[in-house]
Amino acid sequence: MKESRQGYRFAWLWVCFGLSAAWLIVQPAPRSVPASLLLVLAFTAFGAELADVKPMPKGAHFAVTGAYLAAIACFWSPLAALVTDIVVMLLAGAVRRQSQRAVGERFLSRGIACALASAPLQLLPWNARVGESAPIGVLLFMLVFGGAIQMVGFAFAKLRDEAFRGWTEALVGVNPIRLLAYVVVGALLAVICRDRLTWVVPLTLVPVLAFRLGVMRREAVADAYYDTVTALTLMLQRAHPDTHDHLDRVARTAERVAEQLGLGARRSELVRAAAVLHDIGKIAVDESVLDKPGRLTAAERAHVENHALWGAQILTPIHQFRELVPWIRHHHERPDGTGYPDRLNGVEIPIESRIIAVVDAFDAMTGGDRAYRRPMSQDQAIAELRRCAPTQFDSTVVAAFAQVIDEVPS
Amino acid sequence: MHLVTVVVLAAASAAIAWLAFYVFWWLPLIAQRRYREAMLAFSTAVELRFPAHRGLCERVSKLSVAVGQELGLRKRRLLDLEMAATLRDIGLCAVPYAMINERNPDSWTAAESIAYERHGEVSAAMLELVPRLAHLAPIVRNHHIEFASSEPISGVLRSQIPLEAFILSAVTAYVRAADLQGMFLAREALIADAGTVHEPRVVQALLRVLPSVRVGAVDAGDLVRS
Repeated sequence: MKESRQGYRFAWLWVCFGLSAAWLIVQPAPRSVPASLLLVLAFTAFGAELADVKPMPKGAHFAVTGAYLAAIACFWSPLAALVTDIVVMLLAGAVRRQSQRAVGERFLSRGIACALASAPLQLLPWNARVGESAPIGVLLFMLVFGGAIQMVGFAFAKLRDEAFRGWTEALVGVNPIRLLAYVVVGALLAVICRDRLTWVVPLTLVPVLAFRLGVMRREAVADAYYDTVTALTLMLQRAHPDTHDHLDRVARTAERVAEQLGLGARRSELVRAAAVLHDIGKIAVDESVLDKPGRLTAAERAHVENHALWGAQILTPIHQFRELVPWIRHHHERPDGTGYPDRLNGVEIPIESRIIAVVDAFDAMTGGDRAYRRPMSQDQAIAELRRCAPTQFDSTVVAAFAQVIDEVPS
Repeated sequence: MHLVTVVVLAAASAAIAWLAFYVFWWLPLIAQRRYREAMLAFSTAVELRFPAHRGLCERVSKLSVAVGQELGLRKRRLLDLEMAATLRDIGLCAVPYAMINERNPDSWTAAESIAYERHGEVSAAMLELVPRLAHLAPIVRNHHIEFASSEPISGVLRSQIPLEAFILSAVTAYVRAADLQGMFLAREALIADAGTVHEPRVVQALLRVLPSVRVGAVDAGDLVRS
């Protein structure tokens, strides 16, 4: 039932595509460049489509093919641009062995985008479009084309009841390097086509490939961060095998509490990373002391309490963790100033440390990683947190925590 | 030439120059910095757990890189060698704290000795879980390998063991012996073990670089960076 409703909804997109194609066919097609230049543009567009990149691990692929289509639309006709695009998409889809559905969706969105982008071109006089103002025409086409693809993407997400990353982020929050690569190639192509410099067209792939390499290297730098986190947590798990689930639970809950307290998406994500690493200093703690069933001696307690300092010491050299280091150092401070290692009080303690302290304590009380103590129920643990709130824990954080704890899957 | 053409070409040239600078100079520099920061974090973690290892990581990695350079390893392999030298002992985290920090190795039971000897294997298994570090596993797994050993601990043929593993094995043995007995006796032991415990080419290279490393004329870290 749901599928047939979706199929019906998608029919509207095909109608839009049909109208777009009709609109492109009835438009005048005054060619101003030789066929050889058109062919070179089409081949280079295919190269650009294959040299696509995926700037974010979960993001969409990005290719500058639109710049080549814009040049064809301006100097030949928008219909020629659409036909080129279809051929390029089919060939690239075959090379990459993409699913028919993926190619079909791109086919629809690019067709509609091409028709929409051709509209502003009609406002420019022909001589201006292929003469002095050629870069303006090409850039105008590219901008509308890129925006229209985002809009159709949004329509697809809506029709499938999927989440879309949001209008403003899609249209305004474009990565400046992506935009730069797109605009540079488009402007260059406009000048090249106007001056009929056919042999220069393939050279426009140089900035495309440089951009691609840049994205891949940025990804490698970002991966190094995750690898470091993974390797450090593996070391901790080897030293203290019980900590794995504890860290995972604390990280997930701490992120939700941070969001609940209005810390923002980026900061909440950092809180999650800090929560994963908050006990990293325990690598240097004697496991026989940490797992000791009875009371600790003063020396043993001092040894265990050093883990907050050691954690900060391990992470300090890493630039990407510079914000996290004080949060980890102070995650055992108490609002009444009796915590460790620096005996900070109240607002001196970073809010992120206060969040980690509450979530860590809750997980410890409900059985998390303390095998020697009978675990409390969730309600008992929350009651205990509230009882200790003014002195040991931050009351605002405890209140936010009590609100989110039911939502977080155990 | 049209004004627009001049503007477009100038802007495109500037943008491409910036892109080239960013991609070929800035990003590799940042990547290298992150790499070194991560190494420092790992060595700090190991040294905090085992205070007797303080400074060992740095000495082993600098000397290993100098030997690698002497043997003509390329920059990429030198970086891997440096990282492997730093990460070789992360598997020691699985060995009980008190056993290493509070007891003499002579008092270890047979089971404890085996647990210690397996630390290379454990380190390698941990690295295999991290995609971008997994390629270091064969080096780390065999970093205590004996050259003439008929049955390598990982069950692979000697020809399949990377040269970097033999470098780490010889350098680690030398640094430990130098700490316990002094440099002269450590050097003598190295020469005596060439061809049996250690790879002869590695021993020759180590002997060649030792004077310059000892007097500080060569900073292995700088060799990699250059």
